[in-house]
Amino acid sequence: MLNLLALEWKKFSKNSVVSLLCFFYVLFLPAGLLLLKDFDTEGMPIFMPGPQTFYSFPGVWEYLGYAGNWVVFFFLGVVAIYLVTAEINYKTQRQTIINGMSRQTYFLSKLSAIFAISLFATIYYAIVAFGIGVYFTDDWDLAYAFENNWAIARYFLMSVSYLSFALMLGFLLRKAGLAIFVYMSYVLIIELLVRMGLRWKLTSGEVANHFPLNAIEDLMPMPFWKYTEMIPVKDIDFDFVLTMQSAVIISMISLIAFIALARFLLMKRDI
Amino acid sequence: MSVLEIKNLTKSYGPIRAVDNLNLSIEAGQIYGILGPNGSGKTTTLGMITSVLKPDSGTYQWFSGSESQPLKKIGTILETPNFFPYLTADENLEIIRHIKGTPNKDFTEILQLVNLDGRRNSKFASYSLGMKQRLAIAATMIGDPDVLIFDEPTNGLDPQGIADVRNTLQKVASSGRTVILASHILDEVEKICTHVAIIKKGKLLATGSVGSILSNDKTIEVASLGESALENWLRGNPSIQSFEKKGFFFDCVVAEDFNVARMSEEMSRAGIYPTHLVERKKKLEEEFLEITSKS
Repeated sequence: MLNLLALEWKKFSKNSVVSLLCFFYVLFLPAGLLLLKDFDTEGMPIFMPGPQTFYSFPGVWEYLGYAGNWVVFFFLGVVAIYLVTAEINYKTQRQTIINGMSRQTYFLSKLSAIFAISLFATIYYAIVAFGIGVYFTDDWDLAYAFENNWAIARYFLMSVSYLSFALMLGFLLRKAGLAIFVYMSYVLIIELLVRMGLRWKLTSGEVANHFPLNAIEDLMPMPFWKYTEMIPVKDIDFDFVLTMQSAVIISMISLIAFIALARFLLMKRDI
Repeated sequence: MSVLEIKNLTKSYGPIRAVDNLNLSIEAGQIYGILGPNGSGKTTTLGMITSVLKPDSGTYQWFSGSESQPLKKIGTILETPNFFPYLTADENLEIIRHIKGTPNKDFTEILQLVNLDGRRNSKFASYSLGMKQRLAIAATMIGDPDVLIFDEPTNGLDPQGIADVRNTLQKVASSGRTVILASHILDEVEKICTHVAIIKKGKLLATGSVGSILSNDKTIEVASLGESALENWLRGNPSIQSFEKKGFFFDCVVAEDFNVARMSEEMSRAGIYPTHLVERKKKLEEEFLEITSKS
């Protein structure tokens, strides 16, 4: 596996698109949270949290995780698409098979790359969250700092799930522009519209929450949702987010399905 | 020793049958030309035997099945040179070396062979088409493979590029390796190959050594000032089996024991003096056109 990762490193470590997107991830993950430094709670409901909650333990894990939800989706998801479609575009995928690597091994090299990127993203998230927490929390100790440490595991699962969805779209659509367009529109528009349609047609909104990309998103949900329970709105008869257990199970099933489909496409089609 | 055995290989794209029940056998040390017009199925055949295209039916076997990863023992250029444009020649070759799992990380010798040593640290994107093609030839040499496959290696090159690539191919062919060369440029194949297979619309029309494909018909080109007298003389000579006017000369297929010396002597005796008299064997191009036009 390390041998395959080393190969991917040789292929893409000098690629400006990949470097730039990774740099944006590194830059925008902390920036996304730190920009809320001047978040003004005046005029907001009394239970709305302020910057102190965003930055200190244990809230920092959730709030930075939610910022990560966006930056992983935007920047690292595109990296995953690019790792596949760039090789199709340069015909180096074809040449790799011609040079003797089996399709199975080639697939494993791409899979190991997205797992490595997810690991890098998660470690960086953990370091940044810990750093911000230490700086902004008055009285802290390690046990308190890691009280919500499942967030790190959930963050990894979220990253690898987004990236495997992107990888699958790369193998399915083969063209970078088209795959990125479908990736963005599916997550931001299509699944949302289908879910809204279901809510409108069905008496219960439960089903609508169980869509794969929604479940992945709910691994690191918008922390403000928990405060909506305090708003007495009679018309809303469904939960805004999945339970964590459901989100984890659906994400894992989706992850396996995306990987299986991506592998199937590579193994069966002409390249 | 058999290097490649192809049995009943078939591949269709929708209603078009690109390769139709193809059977081929290539032995070690042969320089094997696969000839065919554009769209005859050459690249599709090479795509299948290099695992990038899935055959509809039929089988192929490399090295009699003795190698578990046969493609690592084969250097291939299929259609175009395929490299990462933002990497240098050295970095691209290193990726191929990594895939093939060969130990030698010094590419100086193979880059010298294709005359690219001086540009080894330039990015692939900055190369001319000829240089890209030469780098692709260099890449086929990584790991010192037993077999080399070249698909239309001079396609799209300018005359200098064609000459450079052809020189390189001749050097490679003389190294004792088995070479499979797909081309529609017959001159290229005739100069380099020992064996040929001629395919059209995916079907094998003829195969064998270049000598066996070329017929033994001997041809003499002849011209003289008195054209009608020459034509009458050719018509009346039993050693001239057939003749055809081509430009300023007559192209004559002659008997096995006939030659230019006899022809010159007999013409002089008849009072006809040749201004052009050349004996030649039939070219592969003529044989190719004859074989493919029959099918």
